[in-house]
Amino acid sequence: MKTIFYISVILLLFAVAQWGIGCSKKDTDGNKLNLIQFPKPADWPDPVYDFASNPLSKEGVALGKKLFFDGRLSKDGNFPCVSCHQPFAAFATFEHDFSHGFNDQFTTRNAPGLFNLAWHSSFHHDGGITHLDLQPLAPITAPNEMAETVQGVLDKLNADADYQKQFAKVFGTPEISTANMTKALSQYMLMLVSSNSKYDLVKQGKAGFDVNEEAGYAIFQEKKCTTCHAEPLFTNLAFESNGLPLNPSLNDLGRMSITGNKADSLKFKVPSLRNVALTFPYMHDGRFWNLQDVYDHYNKTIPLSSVERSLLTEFLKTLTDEKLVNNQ
Amino acid sequence: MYLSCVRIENRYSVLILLCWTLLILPSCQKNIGDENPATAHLEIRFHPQLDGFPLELGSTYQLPTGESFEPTVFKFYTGNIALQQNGGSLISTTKDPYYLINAASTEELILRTSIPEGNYTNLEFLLGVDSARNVSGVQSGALDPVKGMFWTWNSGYIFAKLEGISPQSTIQGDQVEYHVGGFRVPYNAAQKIRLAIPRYGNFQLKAGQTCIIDIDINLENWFTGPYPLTIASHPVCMTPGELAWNISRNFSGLFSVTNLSIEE
Repeated sequence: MKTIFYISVILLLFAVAQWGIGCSKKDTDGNKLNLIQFPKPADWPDPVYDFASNPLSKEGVALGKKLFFDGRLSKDGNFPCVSCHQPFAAFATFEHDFSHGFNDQFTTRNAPGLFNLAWHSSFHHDGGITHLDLQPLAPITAPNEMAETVQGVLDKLNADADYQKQFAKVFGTPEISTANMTKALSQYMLMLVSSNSKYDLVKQGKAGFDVNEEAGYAIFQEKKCTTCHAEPLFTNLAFESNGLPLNPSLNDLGRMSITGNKADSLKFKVPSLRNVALTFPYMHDGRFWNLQDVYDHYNKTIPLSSVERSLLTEFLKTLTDEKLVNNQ
Repeated sequence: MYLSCVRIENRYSVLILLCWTLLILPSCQKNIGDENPATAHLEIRFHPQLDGFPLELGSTYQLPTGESFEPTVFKFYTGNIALQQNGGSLISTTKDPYYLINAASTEELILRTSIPEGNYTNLEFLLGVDSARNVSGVQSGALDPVKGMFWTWNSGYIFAKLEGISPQSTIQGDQVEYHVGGFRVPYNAAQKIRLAIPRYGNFQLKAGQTCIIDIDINLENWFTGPYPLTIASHPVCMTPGELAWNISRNFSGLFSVTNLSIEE
């Protein structure tokens, strides 16, 4: 009788095990996915990205990084995401007003740095893209950028057994779809959190500004730069016009080209000032090569003495995040 | 004493055996019982026409505006399909919310879905994609951006695409390209289409039956209606906004039900 009891127990355990293996789609190769928590800095607002729709995992982030650096996402193999979004320039294009794309073409806007994207609900300088997952489709299909088709990218990736294995592990199916490819890219981009600058250490009480930086921070607040470049993201994420005249060779109307509303003419998304020392040239079309040009532009609305300019620059340098730049 | 113990042990064993049987059996079963027994089938067959003839991509037609037009592409999204009950309320279909209809293939002009049984009068569907699906990340199935009906730089679906060639076009290659979409107010180009089913008044659809509705798409009405459109004045619409919205106002005139049949 005891034998029946033991057999029952064994069968019961077997049943439970079967249930686990047979019905779980996540672990096709038996390895567990290492889920990770989004590293939201203390005292920062809640991110807007819906992590429930795309749970972060160590493997997902690594897969996204591999895609971000993979030239096969472009038509001729020469233009991975990272060709325009370079880690050493805080994921902008270093020293370029416009970036290079397929067939010796240039982009028509300055590549923004990529960090703290989990707090953004619109993308591009005109906010035309409504979700981080949708963002990669624009450069992939733009004829002057990566010049590919979504189908072309999916075909190339699906022909690669290693990718299929990685996608199976992260998303439960080896077949690489538009949704899963873009979710993987999002996982990598979401983890580009810039919150380890000297400014952040000062805020955490782990470092102190020197006297010039301290004075520059005071000017930053007094001159109400914070209205648009609001802490801690150093952007209010809104669309504003800062008085830049239309560049007739580009005829870029900014936000108005998305909303069709005349009130949005020449409004562009406020860029973050984090890592500003690395993301020059500045403005949506990269028309200002350095901070002096920017101060000159603002001279009509926010006049600064040359001493104030120097002090403000000292403060802005404390927004550079070496950890972001080096943590590729 | 020993015997009674054995009996108890025996009873427990049977219980445990029963337990694991119950546990293992339903664990991996597909939900077979999901289909509502009171469900009927609905099949909609679209028949694109131009100038009174069945549409053949690559043939030249005369438009009511007097212009000549050779269509090469005609596709559109339809979704939120519902039948109106005789009493008044709308009953939604129960399968995929969206379908991509494509004139290039006979099979892609037919959509099959299911709906609870009932007594129905009108058909309603959306020509376009609801605004929520335009802003909530990358969709799959018919709405996968890989289908080429998505604006990547200004997130949103192209609800309807009509492309071709016309000597009246003012752009290079005599091209005509109407990509109509946009979910942002005030230019939301998704149009609710409500169609009466003539001659049938109301009809009874019973569980297990298939209701087949034939719908003509009279493409000349793309150019006529609340917004008269000529190729000469607007050969191209490539962005969401006022022009796309204006063209979409003509869409309710495209469709008419020509036949309804119910098969057992």
